[in-house]
Amino acid sequence: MRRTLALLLLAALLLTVGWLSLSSGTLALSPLEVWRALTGDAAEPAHRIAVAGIRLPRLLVAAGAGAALALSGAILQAVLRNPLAEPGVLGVSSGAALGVALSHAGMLALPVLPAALAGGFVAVAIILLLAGTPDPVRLILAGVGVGAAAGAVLSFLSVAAPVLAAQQILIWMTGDLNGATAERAALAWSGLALGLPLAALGLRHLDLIALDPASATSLGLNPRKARLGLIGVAVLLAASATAAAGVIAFVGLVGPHLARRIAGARHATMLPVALAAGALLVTLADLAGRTVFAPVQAPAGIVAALVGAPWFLYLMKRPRHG
Amino acid sequence: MRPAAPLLGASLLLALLFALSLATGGGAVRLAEAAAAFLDPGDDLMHMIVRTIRLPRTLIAVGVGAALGLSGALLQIVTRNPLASPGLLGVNAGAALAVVALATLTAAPPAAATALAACIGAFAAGALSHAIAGPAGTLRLILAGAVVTLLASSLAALLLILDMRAMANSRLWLAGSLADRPLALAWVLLPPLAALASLVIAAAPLFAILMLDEATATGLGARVVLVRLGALVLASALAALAVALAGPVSMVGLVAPHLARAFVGPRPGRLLPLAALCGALVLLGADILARIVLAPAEVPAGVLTAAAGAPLFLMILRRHGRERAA
Repeated sequence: MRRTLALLLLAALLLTVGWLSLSSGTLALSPLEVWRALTGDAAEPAHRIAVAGIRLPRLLVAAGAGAALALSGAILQAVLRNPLAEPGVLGVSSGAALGVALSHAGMLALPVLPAALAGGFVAVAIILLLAGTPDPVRLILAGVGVGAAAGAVLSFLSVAAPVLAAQQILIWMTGDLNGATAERAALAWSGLALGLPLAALGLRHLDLIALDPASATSLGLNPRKARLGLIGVAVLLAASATAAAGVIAFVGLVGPHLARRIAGARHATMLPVALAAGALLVTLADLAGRTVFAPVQAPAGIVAALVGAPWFLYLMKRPRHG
Repeated sequence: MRPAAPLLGASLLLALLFALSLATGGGAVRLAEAAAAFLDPGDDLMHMIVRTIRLPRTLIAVGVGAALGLSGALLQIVTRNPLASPGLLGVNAGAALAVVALATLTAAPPAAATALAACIGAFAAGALSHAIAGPAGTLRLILAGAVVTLLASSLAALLLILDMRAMANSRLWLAGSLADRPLALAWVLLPPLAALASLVIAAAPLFAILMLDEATATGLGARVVLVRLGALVLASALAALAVALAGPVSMVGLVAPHLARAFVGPRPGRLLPLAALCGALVLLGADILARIVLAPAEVPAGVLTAAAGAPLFLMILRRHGRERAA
């Protein structure tokens, strides 16, 4: 009951924020004007361009990337049995961003999404190799180190690359949705379309692995195989989100934690809430970033970090994660 | 190995790099010519460049590197944590945030105000990391520092996005570039930095009591709390001055103490002087490379130290885990 209410509330909030992002900006529109622009019955061509051409792709990128990041974070938290795991802090997003940047600079002969995937997988492989023990803090720190290495190479590229590529790299590093296109929206949503069914397939494993890997084995599951598969799904989700929206940290942390608080620990009930919460967080961060300081636009990734980093510190401070 | 040998070797190497730094850059000068700029000063353009641009830049690299090396070594001694360093505890990022905040308030803040702001930011960020990690954690402290760093650098980025003028002034500085640092700032900040560094090196044997366990040290009548507090304050102030001069250069404060420890072991009396020299060597070396790799363009030295230091961080983390497991 509580969960249904929360889901309804989240959906309503998401719709409201979505509507606000479509209507606000330099060209402020009324709800009716937004509706007419969306249905192809715009009063002025400018309305159609602003709403359908600029703001809608941006909204779709934000919602798709946010949902994918939250799902990725939820999977990583369960599989690594680590409440602080999250693609941004673990360096998976930075690895993916590095792949994207290399592809843009012409140093990696792969299209954007495979390049992001390759970067994300390399990052995760290094982390798993380095952090052999199950010490949760050590695992996250290995991720921090990998993220720092990827970030250093990224800033080197941003100096070395031609100006246009350098600018794109800088944009990826801060998670800026300004100028998001329909292609980028397609990137985010195709990752989600692939990752969501796969995550649904692994639902049973998720619950078992998160609670108790030993009993998972006795029930006839192969936790090692399931774990690797699920990590692959998490990387896919984080990489597609990063390819579409850049590095946005902490959404993968805050989304699942909010969801767990609302809907409990079972993944079947918690994941839908996490998806909605993640989508809401990034759309809200983007809306705030472009309206609060208007005419200056603050990247959604920075706004998300300003909210998410204190949350992370708060989670760390709570004694049961010691 | 005699304890003086590594010190002597590092000093010689530093002298060599110093000369090399004077001779490297756009329109490279031969060493002999660089020497002539001082011995037989003329009005020729190259001599001017060596005296007024490369000499201050080299001095800044040496000062900042030494300060970061000392700060990292002190922090590693105080927290008994091999991963501690001003960059990883959030101290650098806190100082940088305060300097950026000041830069958005006034167009050209006086050097002393910049230094003071950096100190306040450094103390606040360090204290926050400590408060969140609690007394127990060694690795928790580093994790808290990493997130405090993220928070502070996001705030700094936001401030700069909102203020284009400050952005134009601090973009390179924030990446840890030693190019075109204002000379006025260097002449005001380098002397106190040198004074602080000499103070730490002179007092180095004193910090040995921090390596004893608390009960023993107290039993010996040592003022552990006072020494620890002093070490933390000195480490933060050194890092803050370094950041005010050269931006949040990362990993030098981690690399230098480990390099030094490999030669002279953990005793503060021997470790601290060599850590200072190693820090200077690392940053000066990085700055020379920064002028060469993409010449005629320049890479911020901080980008190079970060790229070189991150793998080292991962190595230390791995070794630390093994020791704890054993």
